[in-house]
Parts: sequence; C-alpha cells; structure tokens
Amino acid sequence: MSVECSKYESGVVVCTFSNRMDTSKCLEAEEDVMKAIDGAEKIIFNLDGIDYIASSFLRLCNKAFDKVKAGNFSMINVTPAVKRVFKIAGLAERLNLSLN
Amino acid sequence: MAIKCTKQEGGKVVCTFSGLMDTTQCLEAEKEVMNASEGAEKIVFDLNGVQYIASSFLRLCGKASHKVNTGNFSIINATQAVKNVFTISGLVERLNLI
Amino acid sequence: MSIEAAKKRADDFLVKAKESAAIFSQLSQEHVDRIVKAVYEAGFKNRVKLAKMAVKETGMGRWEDKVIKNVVGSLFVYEDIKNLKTVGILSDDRETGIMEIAQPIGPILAIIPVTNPTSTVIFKTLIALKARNPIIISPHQKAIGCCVETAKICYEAALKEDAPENCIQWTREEPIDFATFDIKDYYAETQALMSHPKLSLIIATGGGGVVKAAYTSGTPAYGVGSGNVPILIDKSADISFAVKNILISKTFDNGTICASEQSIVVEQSIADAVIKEFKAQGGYFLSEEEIKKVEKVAFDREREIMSAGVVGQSVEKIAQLAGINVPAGTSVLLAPLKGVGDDYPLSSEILCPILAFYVARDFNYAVKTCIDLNFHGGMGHSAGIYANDDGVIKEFSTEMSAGRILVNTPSSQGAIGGIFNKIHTSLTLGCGTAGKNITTDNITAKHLINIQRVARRRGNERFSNFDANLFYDESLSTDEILRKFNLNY
Repeated sequence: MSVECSKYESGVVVCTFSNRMDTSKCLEAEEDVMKAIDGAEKIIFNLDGIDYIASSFLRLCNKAFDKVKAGNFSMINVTPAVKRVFKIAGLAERLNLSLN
Repeated sequence: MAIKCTKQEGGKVVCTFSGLMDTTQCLEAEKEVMNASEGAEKIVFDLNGVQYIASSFLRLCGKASHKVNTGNFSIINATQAVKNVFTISGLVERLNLI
Repeated sequence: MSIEAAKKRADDFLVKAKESAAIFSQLSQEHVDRIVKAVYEAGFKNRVKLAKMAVKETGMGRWEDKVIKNVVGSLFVYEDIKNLKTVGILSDDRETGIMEIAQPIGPILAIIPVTNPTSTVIFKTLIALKARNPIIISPHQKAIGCCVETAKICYEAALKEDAPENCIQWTREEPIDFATFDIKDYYAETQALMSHPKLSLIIATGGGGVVKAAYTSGTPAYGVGSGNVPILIDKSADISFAVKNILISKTFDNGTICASEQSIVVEQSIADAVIKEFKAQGGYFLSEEEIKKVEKVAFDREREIMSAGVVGQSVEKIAQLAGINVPAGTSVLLAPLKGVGDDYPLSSEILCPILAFYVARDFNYAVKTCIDLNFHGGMGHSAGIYANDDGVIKEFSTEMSAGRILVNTPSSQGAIGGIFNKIHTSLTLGCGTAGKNITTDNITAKHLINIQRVARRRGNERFSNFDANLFYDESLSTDEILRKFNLNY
C-alpha cells in the first residue's frame, strides 16, 4: 500500500504516503487518491518519511491541486530533501509549501 | 653594447640589437638610434639574437617608424618569441615585421 | 557622452593593455613572482591609509575592519598564490602523454564594488599579474578616489620590478562630481570597456546589475551572485561560541561582506538558550513594531532590494534612521520572523548589522527554513552551520545550494578563505550556475590562465585491437560488440 486516504466530515481529505514514491508507486497511488479526493473541499498530502519522489509525484500533486479551490491544497511533514525538490522544480509556492 | 647602427648608401640605416632589450638597455639604445636615424630614408631594425623586449622597445620602434615615410621602416630577424610579442600587441602590420 | 566617444575611450585603454599583455607574455615565473611580491608589499604597507580613504569616500563600514580586508587582499592572497606555478609547463605526465602549459589570457577588466573597494583592487591586481595579465581597474562611481590611489600604489611598485608598462590602468584619474556629470555616461564608459573586442576577461564584483552587464557583454566573465546567508545553530552546537562567532562576522565592517550572516535559524529546544546568549553578547531583539520601522529604512520595496542608505552603517545609525531606541553598545539587531519572502523584507539580504531570527520546531524544520532563505535571493552563495555532529553537518550541507558551507566559522571571514580555513583566499566568490556564475570556486590566479594540453600519441589498446567495421553491423547486439571490444582487455 503506497497511500492511505481518509475523509473527514468537513470535506477534508488527508492522503498519507509512505516510502519511496517512485513511478510505479505513484501509478498505484494515483487511482486511490483521485477516487478519494473526488468532491473534496480541502486536500492535504502527508509526506511524512518520504525521502524520494518521482516526476509522477509532482504531476499527482498538480492534479490534486487542480481539484480544489486555490489555497485548499497543502502538504505537511515534508522532509528537507523532498522540499528542495519542490523548490528546484519551482512548484513550492504554487503548491502551498511555505515553511512546513 | 646592445646596439650598433650603421649608415649605408641610399640613406639606409641598419640598427642591430642583441641580448635582452630591457628598460635600461632601451634607454641607452634610444639615444643612439635617434642620432643615427637623423635624416635617414629607410630604417631597418635587425633583432637577430634579441630574446626579450620591454615595453620601451615597442615605443622605440614606434618612434623610429615615425622618422621615415610609411613603409620605410622594417624589422628583420625577430625570433619567434619576439615576433609573438609584436603580434599580441597588434603592432605587427604597422611596424612592417619581416 | 556618445557611444562613439565611449568606444574611443575604451580603445585607448585596450590598445595600451594589449601592448602590455604582449610584453607580459615573455616574463619568466621568477620575474612575475618578484612583481607580485612587490605589489603585495606596497598594498600591505598602505593598508591603514587606504582603509581610511575608503571609509571617508564611501561612508560605509569601519576603517579598522577595512584594514583587515586590505591585509586579506594583500598578505593572505599573496600567501595563497605565491607558490602557484603560472608560467610555462605546469605538468608533464609521461604516462598519459599529456603536458599542460600555462598561457596568460590577456587584458582583464576588474569591476570594483563600493563595499570592499581598496582590498578588491589589491586582490584582483595580484591575481591578474600573477597570471601575467594586465588589468584595468574600473571602480564603483562612489569609490573612485580610493581605488585609483590603490591602483597607483600597486603600479608604482610593479614598475620598480620592471613590470610591463600599463600592466595596471585605471579608468578615471579623479573622483567625478556627479552633480555635473551624468551617471549614465559612467555606465556607458564601463559598458564600452566590457564589450571591447580586445578585452579578454571581466572579473565583476558588485551588484546584480553590473554583474549581469558583464555576462551579457560578449566578453568571458567571472561574476558573483547575491547572497542571503542562512546560519543554522544545531542543538549539538557550543551556543556561546556560536553566538560569539556570528557577532564577530556580522559586525565586521558593519556587515558589508556579501558572505555575512543574514538569518539565524535555531531549533525550539535551544531557542531560549540562544536568545539569552545573544542578549548577553549585546544583541537586541526587535519587537514587531520595531521590525516594521526597521523594514521601512532597510528595504526598498519598490526595487525589492536592500536600501543603499543602510549598507555598511552602524547599529546606532540604523536605529536613528528607523526612529527606534536601542541600548548603548548594541552589537546587532535581531528580528524574530515567522516567514521568508516578500512579506518579510528582513528575510532578504541586507548588508548591515541586522539579523533575521527563526525558531524551528526541530532540525528538519530548521533545514527547511534554511532552504527557503537560500532560495530567497541567495542561491549558490554561502551558508553556515554550528554543530558538533558530523551527520548533521552533512545532512545540512547536501540540502543547501551554496558554493561554500562554513562550519563553526564566522561566515564573512570564512567564505573569503585563508583566516579560518584552507579554501582559497579571494574577494570574488563564485556562486555556481544557481547564482548565474560559471563556477562555485573562490576566484584566484589559477582561473586567469589558459591551460594548453599537449596530447602526445598514446594508443587506446581496445580500439586498436578491434575491428571497427563491427560498429557498422546492425545485426550484432550491443552485448556482442562489447564482448569483442573488451576481449582480453
């Protein structure tokens, strides 16, 4: 299992990923995530313990980001190494990755 | 003496230099060259055996070349190293380096 | 001034420089070393006079610290380059058959910043001459007088050792009165020099504008990027030592060195101890209200850079400008901030004794804050960490985009090398491609020579024993070709 998604009453969906998010893991996760966030108000990606992300993960983030209103997508528990990936890719601001 | 000037027929003056033409040598040579080239038609600098030239030597060449009509000043027998110096400085054409 | 006039002016400098380069190309290593020694000694001898001139003319920094900068630019740079081979055959490896020969590159244009004027003139002159290149000194418009005086002192000393004439030139004889002289003309002059076809290289130290102009001139250039130096104090750090070293560095010449600390990031668990230590050592923590006042005078919101008015100024002067009261003897102003970026002006690079201060939940969050600071205008420059745990140091360093990561070291003096570590002493700090530079090196004499490689014939055994026609055969698999290629090798 590469992702676990839980829905909360107020329309918040939290997706918790684990291990290395390589291309095949991302593909696996994508279906689950897209299903879970359908109709969501707010999406939170929990990246606790993830030390590697493939390009597909950046795409998955963008997809999820587009599902909700601006500012309602966020990421938490990002490791420094992964944070740097988002910074270099120029996605940190768009994806709400400020100081967390 | 690092220089010897000889006047030849037809107003031609040949100045032969040798050794290191450093700043002091150039100063010494300058007087000699200027005296010898007075009224000359043609000036030839023979650099056979010159291993090194200081900035003042470039100036001396410039001065001597102004003493005669365009094309009547020339430099012969420059070593490859000295020729390089003239090339880098961009003076090679103006000073008629053969 | 018309473009033609600026070009004509540049031409005069470059014709002389080119002649000088020609003469220079004949000099032996021994002769070059004599010239370099004489220039360093002259610079060193005049260190105090030049430091005072610089402070008086630019109104920036402290003369005592500028003396130290002049010492670094002369003595330390000299010691770093004196044994370097820059003439003739550098190496000859019979095994590989490769021989390396050093050639001078030709006339160099040195752009000198207002923050470190005289020291940068001495430094750039030393490294240029060491590599047998003539140099043209182009000072910042507010530092012409002290730069020209420095250049003259160096030139006189060089000539005494029979250096080529015009091996050091300067673009102006006297300071300009900009009340009557159009600053644009000064820029046009510099531009014409930069793009002159006879110029070989530009070493540009200064603000983003002039560095970019250098890079776009068409002449090869070494430049610097802007800094925004984050310092992480880890829980394994010797806190009192860390604070002391940070203050030594941040207060040095009122913070004019671009490698000086801009932000301090600490973990929650040691935050109180660090704050207490800063207070004990003369640091003053600004209130939110005071931060707003300081922001206004320290940061130019329109141009989105630090205000020139605070650069190299003392704490008292900044407090006075901002209209706040700070205790006498305050060494540095600390601004506790909640975020990084345009909403927090003091999270940007500001070259004066102001430090942003961040408390992070844990080590990971501290590193992440440093990444944000790094990306906020300081990519590729320098970063620092205080820690006594090698694992932590390595983790921090791999996440930073910085040419220099200073460990348990004042970053100003650490980044320029020679005093606290063994990196090359330099006042031009490369910031890598992230900072739009070609190198992360500290620029020094070795960057100012062209290295020729004489490659003698040495066979490639596999290639000579291999039937090259097999490369054309598409029916063979890669494995098959490689097997034959590597057979008996």
